[in-house]
Amino acid sequence: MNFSIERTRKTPEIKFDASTGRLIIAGRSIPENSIEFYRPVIDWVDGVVAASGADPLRVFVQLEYFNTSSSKSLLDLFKRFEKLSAVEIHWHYDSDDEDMLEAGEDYDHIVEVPFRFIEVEPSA
Amino acid sequence: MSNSVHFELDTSTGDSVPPSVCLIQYKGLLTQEAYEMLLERVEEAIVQRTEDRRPFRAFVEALQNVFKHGDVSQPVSIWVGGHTVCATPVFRFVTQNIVGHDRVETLVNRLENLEKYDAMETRAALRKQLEQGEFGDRGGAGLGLLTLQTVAVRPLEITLLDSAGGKVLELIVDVASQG
Repeated sequence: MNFSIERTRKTPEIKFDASTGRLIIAGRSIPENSIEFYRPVIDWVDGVVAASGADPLRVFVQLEYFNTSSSKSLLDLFKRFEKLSAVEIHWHYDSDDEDMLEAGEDYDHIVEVPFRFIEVEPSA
Repeated sequence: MSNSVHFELDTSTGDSVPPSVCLIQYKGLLTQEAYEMLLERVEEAIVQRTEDRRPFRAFVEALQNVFKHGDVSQPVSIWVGGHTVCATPVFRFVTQNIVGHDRVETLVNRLENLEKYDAMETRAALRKQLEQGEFGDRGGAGLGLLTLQTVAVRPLEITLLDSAGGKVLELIVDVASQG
């Protein structure tokens, strides 16, 4: 069950490839109403959880910006992953971006899902 | 009430507060169109000066704070500029907006809490609000102000002023690049 939302100036691309078990969240997430934006994503994840809690899922978070409204929606999303038996969140951050690293550490502290922190060279 | 800030100006390192350099100024109704235009223009202005994402993130929070929580049926003022603090280039964001009567008490309580926090307490409060705060479709739970406080180079300067239209919230945030 693939899933895809294209990125816009204010919202991230969100893509799931069922053949690889990879969910990618990339770009920026600064919508005024994050609940509305993330609702279909959360509904989709609820469907995944209900259908196949045992399939491995790797989540790649590659965000440049997210606002506080999105931070709560992302938490709601990550909390749902707790119900899956094999899930891992790969949190990407630029090597010079302490804020994004700390944000990932906050989620790692709150959510009971394994996090891997991936430091990358800043994009041009 | 006022969350006043006191800091010493170190003239030996070339601080310049004031005068500040104005990059963008907007006064008027914060319509969706004006909001989009401000996001675009301010991003351009900041990205020309730093590749670091912190200042623009802070501006997004400051602007969305006005857009989502201010009374946008009344004119607002948005000012974006720069100056230096201890020889460090700093972006300054100043927002002024009318606050709805029903939000004044909540806002005053949040400001009083903000005044008490040091850097570590602010970070802890941010994490606690993220985990436990109740959000609506307009965000909320005070996360925006806490986020701004964690990235600002000095405490947020927040003042509630009386005006004919109601209470005016003035927010001044100084943000430097990371590292």
